[in-house]
Amino acid sequence: MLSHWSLVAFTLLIQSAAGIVWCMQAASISCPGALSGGYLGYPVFAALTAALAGLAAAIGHLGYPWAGFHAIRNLKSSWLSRESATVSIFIGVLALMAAVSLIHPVSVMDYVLPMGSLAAGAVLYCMVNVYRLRTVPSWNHAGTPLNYLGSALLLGGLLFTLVSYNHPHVFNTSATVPVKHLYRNIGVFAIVVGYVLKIAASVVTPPTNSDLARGLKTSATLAQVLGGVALLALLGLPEVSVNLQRVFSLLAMAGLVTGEIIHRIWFYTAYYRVGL
Amino acid sequence: MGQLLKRPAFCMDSQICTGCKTCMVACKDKNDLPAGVRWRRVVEYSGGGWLPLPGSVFRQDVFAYYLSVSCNHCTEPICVEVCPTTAMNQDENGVIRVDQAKCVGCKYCQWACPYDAPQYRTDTGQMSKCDFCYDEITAGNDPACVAACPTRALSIGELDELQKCADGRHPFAPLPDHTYTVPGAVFKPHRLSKPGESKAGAIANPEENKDA
Repeated sequence: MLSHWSLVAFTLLIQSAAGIVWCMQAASISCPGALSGGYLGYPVFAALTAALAGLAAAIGHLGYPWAGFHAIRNLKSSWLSRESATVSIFIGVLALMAAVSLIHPVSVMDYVLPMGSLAAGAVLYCMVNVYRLRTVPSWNHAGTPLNYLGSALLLGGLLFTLVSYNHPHVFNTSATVPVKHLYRNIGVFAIVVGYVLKIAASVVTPPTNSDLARGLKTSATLAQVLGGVALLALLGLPEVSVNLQRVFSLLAMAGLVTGEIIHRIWFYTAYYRVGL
Repeated sequence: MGQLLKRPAFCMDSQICTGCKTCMVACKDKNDLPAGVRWRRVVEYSGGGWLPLPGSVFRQDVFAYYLSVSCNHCTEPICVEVCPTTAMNQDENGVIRVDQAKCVGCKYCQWACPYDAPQYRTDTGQMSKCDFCYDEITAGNDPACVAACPTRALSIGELDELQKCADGRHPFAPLPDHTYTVPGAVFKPHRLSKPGESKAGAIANPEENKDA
C-alpha cells in the first residue's frame, strides 16, 4: 500500500530529536546552569544525528528527490510543505546549538535552546497535521497528535537518559546540585509522560479492520507493556544489584523502542481512505 | 467542438456503461502508460443475494453496475491543496495537471485523493494522472476515453450545463461524498445504484484497479 519504512524512520528519528531538545530545555529551566561545561555536546549531537538521519530517510522516501528544493513552495496550504520548512529550520537550529556547545556553552545557549524547543514544537505540529487528512479517517482523529507527542517524549527521554548516564562529565561534576539525578529524573519523567500519552492515544484511536494491522498493534502493545514493566521495576526497586538494574534497563529500552517501531509500522499499515 | 471548454467536465452515465474497459485501454494507449498505472479505472460495484419469501420461495436482489472514473478535476482539489511543491496545479479552466519539473514523487496526493486519481510511476519516480488529454481538447477533439467509448456512456461538456440535470448531483456507492473535494464531474446513477454510504455491495474487481 504505502512505502512506509522510510517514513517510520523519519518520523521516529525527528520525534526523538525533538524529545531530546525538550528534555534539555526542561533541565535548563529546572536548574539554571546545570547545562554547563562539556556536557552540552552529547545530547545536542545526539539530537542532530537523529535529525539528520531522519532527513536522509525522508529523502529516501521520495521518488524524484532532485526536485526536493521545490518542497517548500506551497506553504499556503500544504502541511507537508510546512513540515519540510520547519524540519529544515529545526536542523539548522540544532547545528547552531552544536556549534555553540563547542564554543560558548552556557551564555549563548540560553538564547539558542529556546529556539530549538520552539522549532521542535513547530516540527511536531506540522508533522501531526500532515496526517490529519479529511479523506483519511484512519489518521484523522485525536489519537494521532497524542501518539506523535508520546513518541517524541518517550524516545527523546530514553535517548536523553542514555546520554546523561554515559557522559563522564555528569559523574565528575563538582556542582552542588545533584546533576546526575536531575538528568535522570527529567529523562524518566519524559518517558513516563510519553507512555501515558501513548495509552491515551490507543484509547481514542478507532479500531482497524485488517488482521495484519490488528496483529501489529497487539505486538506493539506487548513490547511496550514489557518495556513499561521493566521500567517500573527499575524505578521501584532501587536496592537491587547493579547487574539486575542493567537487565531491567536493557529490557525497558528494548521493549519501548521495539514497541515504538512496531507501533509506527502499524500506523502506516492501518491507512484507510474514503472513496475508491 | 472548436475550442477548449470554459470548464470542461466528464459526464459518466452508469445506466449505459457496460464495463467493457475500452476507455481504460484507450487512455493507456494514448498516454503510453506502463503496467500498473491506470489514469482511468472501471469499477464494478455489485451485491445482493437470495431473499427468502413465505412458502419456501426465494427471490434474488442481485445488482451490478459499472463506473468509469479518472481524475474529476475537482472544484476543491485536495491534491492541489496538499502538494508541497505545487506540482499539482489547476489552471483557469479547472484542469488539474502535474508539473513534472516540480514533482518529487512523495505520493502525498495519492494518499489524499478519494478517487485514486494520482498514480505513481516507478519508471520516472513521479506522480501522473489524467490531464483531460489536454493536447486533444485544446485542438478541439475529445479525450481518448470519450472518443473510444462504444456506448457513449462517457462524454464531456461544460460543468455547469451538465450539473443542471438533477440525477448527476448526488453520489452513489462506491463514490465518496461529494463534499470532500466537490468533483468537477457528473455521474449519472444506474437504476439499481445504492446510496453513497450504503454497504449493500462491494467493489467486485479490486485486483483490476490496485497497483501492479
